[in-house]
Amino acid sequence: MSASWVLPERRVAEAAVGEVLDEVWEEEPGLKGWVTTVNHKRIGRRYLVTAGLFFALSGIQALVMRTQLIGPEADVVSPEVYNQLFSLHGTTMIFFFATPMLFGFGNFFLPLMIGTRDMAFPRLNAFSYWVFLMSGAFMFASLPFGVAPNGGWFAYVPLTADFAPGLNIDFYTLGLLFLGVSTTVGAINFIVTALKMRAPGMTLSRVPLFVWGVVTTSFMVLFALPPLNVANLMLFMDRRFETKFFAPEHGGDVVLWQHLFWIFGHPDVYIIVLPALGIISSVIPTFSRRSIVAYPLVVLATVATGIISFGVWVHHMFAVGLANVSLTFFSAATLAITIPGGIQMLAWVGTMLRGRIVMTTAMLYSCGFIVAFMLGGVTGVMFAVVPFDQQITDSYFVVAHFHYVLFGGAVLPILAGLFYWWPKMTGRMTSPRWGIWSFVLVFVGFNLTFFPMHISGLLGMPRRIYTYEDGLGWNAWNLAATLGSYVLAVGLLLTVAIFAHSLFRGPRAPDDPWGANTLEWATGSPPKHYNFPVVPTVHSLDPMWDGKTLQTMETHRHDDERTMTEEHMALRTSELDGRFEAVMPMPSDTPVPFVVALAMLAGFTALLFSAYVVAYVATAMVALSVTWWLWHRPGVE
Amino acid sequence: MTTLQSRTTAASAVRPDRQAPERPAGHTTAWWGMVLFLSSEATTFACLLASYFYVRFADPGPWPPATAPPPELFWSSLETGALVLSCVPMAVAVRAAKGGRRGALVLSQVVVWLLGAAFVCFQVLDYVVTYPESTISEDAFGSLSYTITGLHTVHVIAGLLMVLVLIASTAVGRLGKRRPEPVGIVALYWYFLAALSVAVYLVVYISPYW
Amino acid sequence: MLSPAGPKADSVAVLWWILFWISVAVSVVVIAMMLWAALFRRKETTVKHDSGQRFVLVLGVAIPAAILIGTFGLSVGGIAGNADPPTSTQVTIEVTGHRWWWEVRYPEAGFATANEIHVPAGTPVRLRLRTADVIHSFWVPELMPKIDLLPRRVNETWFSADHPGVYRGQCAEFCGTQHSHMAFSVVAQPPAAFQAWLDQQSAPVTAPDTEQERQGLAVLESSSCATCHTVRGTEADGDLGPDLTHVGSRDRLAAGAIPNTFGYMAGWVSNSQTVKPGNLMPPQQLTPDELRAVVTYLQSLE
Ligand code: HEA
Ligand code: HEA
Ligand code: HEC
Ligand code: CUA
Ligand SMILES: [Cu+2]
Repeated sequence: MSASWVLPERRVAEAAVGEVLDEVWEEEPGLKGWVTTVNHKRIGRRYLVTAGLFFALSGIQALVMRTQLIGPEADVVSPEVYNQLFSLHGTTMIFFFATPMLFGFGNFFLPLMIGTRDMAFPRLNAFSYWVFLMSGAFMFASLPFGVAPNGGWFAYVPLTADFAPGLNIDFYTLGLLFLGVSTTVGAINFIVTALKMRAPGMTLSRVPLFVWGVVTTSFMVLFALPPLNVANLMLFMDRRFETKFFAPEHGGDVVLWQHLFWIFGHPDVYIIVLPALGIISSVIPTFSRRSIVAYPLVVLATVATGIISFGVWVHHMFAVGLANVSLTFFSAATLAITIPGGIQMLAWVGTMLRGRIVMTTAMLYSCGFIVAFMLGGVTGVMFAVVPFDQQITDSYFVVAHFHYVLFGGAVLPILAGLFYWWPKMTGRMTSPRWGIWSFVLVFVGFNLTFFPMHISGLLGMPRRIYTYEDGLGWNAWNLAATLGSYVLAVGLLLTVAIFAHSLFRGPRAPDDPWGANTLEWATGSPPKHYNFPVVPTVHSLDPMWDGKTLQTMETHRHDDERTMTEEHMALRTSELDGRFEAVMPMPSDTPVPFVVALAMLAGFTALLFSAYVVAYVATAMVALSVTWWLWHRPGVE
Repeated sequence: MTTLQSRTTAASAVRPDRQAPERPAGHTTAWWGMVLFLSSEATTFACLLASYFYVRFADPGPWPPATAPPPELFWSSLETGALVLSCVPMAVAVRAAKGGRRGALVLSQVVVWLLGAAFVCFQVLDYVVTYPESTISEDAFGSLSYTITGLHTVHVIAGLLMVLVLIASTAVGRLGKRRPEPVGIVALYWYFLAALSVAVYLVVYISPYW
Repeated sequence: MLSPAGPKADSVAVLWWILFWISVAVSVVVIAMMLWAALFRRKETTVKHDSGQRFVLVLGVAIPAAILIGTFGLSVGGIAGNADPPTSTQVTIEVTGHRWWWEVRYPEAGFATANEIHVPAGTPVRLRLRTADVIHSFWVPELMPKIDLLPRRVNETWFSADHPGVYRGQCAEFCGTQHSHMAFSVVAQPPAAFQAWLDQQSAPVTAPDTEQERQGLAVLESSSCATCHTVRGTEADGDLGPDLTHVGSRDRLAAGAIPNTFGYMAGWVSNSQTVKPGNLMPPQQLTPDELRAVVTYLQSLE
């Protein structure tokens, strides 16, 4: 590695304290270190890899579904299997791929972007990863045994209550409750980190948009997951202990489920998309060579999306037969949420129009995203028109909408983010030439898969059918979609190959290969365990460009408060204006989070098989290990 | 606290055991962690209570259903009273921790613990003595009432565990003037439980009489 | 839904085309700006460093807001426009969703049929929808938008077909294994033909003519069929499956899954699970003779 590739300011800082810090932050090698690590970058990487694996599994399920739908009356899988496939596909794509994938980016980059050394609660962070991994394994384990969830990803009662014998739905309720633990503590961790650990000088108006996205998402998680958890708890109890929450003949109510689910479900789609939009807001300024246009408006739009999204859930229930006043209100609210979408969209386009574009793979994907999100967004707006929605709901038109916003609005940004941050994460560059191929195949495949679904939907094709008759005019569109999904799969495989090749053969990456604007690029590629040898003072929204922030890494290199060389330590700063408050001791490696997660896995598995005694024992184990955890607070040992 | 002051205290705080003896300016990460956790918990109970009213008003029949006994107020009033009362010793404990009075800290925590335990006992008595016949699976009314009170009781039991850990920590000297923080954080949780018990009481026990 | 054949679907189709063109216009503008930047601002060296607030406020807030307010008008107008039928309804039809077929009742005429809804063309019909088990959704793309069938609730709505014809409908809420095969058809007839159909359907069956048909009736009444199916005028009065009183008159069987011919029906009765896997009619243990007899009989029930 040519030394000139290290930023000069960082070189000076490393020379001053790098060696000491290396020793202090060194981690245990081998398997033990692998289980006990609490380092946010390792955990973030794990999140990305695990979620990527779940994406592949879930994508393969989709390919099987598409193959079944290639022509009328095809006989690739039985109806039972098909129903499990789409239920598990939807559930795992949403819960075990999209959210955790973006949490992975958050884990890796949020501390780097705000200039700190780790997450606020590193052990909790490790815990949330282990719970994510174990709940994912729990959920996917259902498929090989033929008992995967089969009620769709929103699992409407009473179909999933009295009419669904077997363990299928229990996997769903328990798996999601289990995962909910991970998502909730992860969200708390992000919020506290972003509130209390920003580098000095990073006032709220200098916080990168990706961080705003992750924090807004995290707040939404805190308020959106409870209704889902309550609903799943009730459903589990209805199924196991004969409670009557959803039993109409005993005073229960089936629409209650729908309300609880969608009060979660609608915010959830923005939970997924906001960090993804944050990625776009990171990529576009860098490759437009200027600061984002209308930063305050974009921040406002992000937060407003988070808030308004709690008030639109009934647009998923327009065909239920609710009162017209309620339909009118939710129609208006749904239209209102377009405005923040428009603000962000125009801010990206405006930034591009005012800047000078550098076409990298990440930027290509961002442009592809703009097209896809635009098309997915406008079909969403159509649904806000109640009679239109009543006509088109539960048809393939809806499937087209949500893949445009989910694949186009989340997966394309995720790919953009992977290409953008890959050099930072691995220290290797990817091939720009192959990157173009990756983009072309994925983008064409994506449109070929999902665009025809608009048309089959308009032609009256309902969703969630395992087959259809000949002669309804749907054949060609389904064939196109299926072929498109194969192209898409090839594109994604090529993308995986590009990354694999880069990992072993790619050229080394400098600290700041793109000439980017945010602080993660002030660290090594890949960053050292301690991220920043000297915590800088942030002077602007684009600290890498202001010519002052980096300088502070040099000037503060003898300041104990910025180098913190004695133990694992990090800075605590004030919530609003990022002023210095204290130096906090941080915990180091520990196996306890892993043990707690394992005990919880035992507990949930016991519940699944009705082994309630075992579940009690597991609960006691959880309580004991958590006590041990709390007993050993950092700085007290 | 001015910036200058906090900087000097922090300079001495570089070694953890020399960290600010008085409370540093601003809330700590742990405080925020607990507050955020509680806001999520509060939402959970808000959903349950909202479901209670949703089911109640969606059901055309009488509430509580003719077959279900109306709620009794004896044990439930006692238990709610006990939990609300326990906030007083909890507040004493927080002050004792800040002032570093270890004896007072242990004593007040023990009182808190006993009141919390009383809450759990009263709740169990309420279940078995007042409604020996009814069950959680009778009807939606029963399911909601038992789930809400039951989940709240589980939370109180978790709180009792936390207080127990605090008492133990204080006893072995891991807690006190130098690190009063955990007491304040457990106290937050405890106040939350008390406030919740009032809400649960109003909804589950009082509202059927409206 | 692109070829509407009734007032409700008409109004939605109009909405669709308005929304479609708005969407095209908005998308084209945004995507064109993006492409222009991506293509032509690469060599350019002048980067504008203004804040760009005004650009976003005008193009991202003001103009969309105006469009959205107009859209809201469409939405409200649509809700109001579809609330009530243009003229009073003559016929009421009660539809009950079952896993995975539709029970269709004409309360005024007092009979039930399945999966085939006859209506007079040109006049609005009132629908009363409920379910016997899980949630289903009633949808005839060419005639009317969806409305769900929910336990313990009755959803009422109306629709009408402008011209005589057969319109396909399908269950639109996932309802389990055979959600895919829960179709039905709406047969719009000239009023006179409709009246004739009503009269014919409301009559109970007459005594069988041939020996084989008589044997078929005996099988029907004595075997398990009668516990699930009703044939008015006979002892068969079960209510778990479709009413078979005039099953011979229907165009398709098993909620659209198969055509109504002797062969298909025989296949269905002997083992419906191969035809529509997972449906709730168990395979019937009948001798080939009995099978032939019962199917011949059922086919005769015009
Ligand atoms: C990432 C996920 C995501 C995102 C971002 C969105 C975004 C939006 N969604 Fe979507 N939606 C889903 C995921 C998402 N959705 C999913 C998964 C479902 C189906 C669930 C299921 O049934 O399984 C669904 C279903 C769904 C429905 C219910 C459909 C039905 O089942 O009948 C509705 C109804 O209103 C809706 C509306 C919207 C709207 C108005 C937006 C808006 O936020 C879009 C705003 C953005 C733009 C419009 C583009 C940019 C704007 C401009 C450039 C300004 C100018 C534009 C105009 C003036 C039009 N969505
Ligand atoms: C983020 C969310 C997300 C994503 C990315 C996708 C991606 C895809 N989806 Fe999915 N989908 C949903 C969320 C998502 N979906 C949801 C919520 C539903 C509703 C479920 C319900 O109704 O309950 C749904 C439903 C749904 C249906 C409707 C089913 C029905 O109603 O009957 C269909 C049908 O075609 C479909 C297809 C696809 C396809 C072809 C992809 C493709 O884009 C997939 C592409 C991926 C791959 C092809 C895998 C790539 C392979 C690799 C990368 C190899 C790497 C290998 C190693 C690392 C070892 N999806
Ligand atoms: C356990 C109940 C049960 C029994 C016994 C039963 N059926 Fe059925 N039958 C059903 C159900 C349910 C359906 C609807 C299946 C579907 O479409 O999903 C049905 C559908 C049918 C249909 C198609 C009706 C239509 O209009 O689409 C015919 C014909 C039929 N049954 C004939 C018979 C005959 C003949 C027998 C006895 C030899 C019989 N059934 C026994 C439950 C039963
Ligand atoms: Cu009935 Cu789908
Ligand atoms: Cu929504």
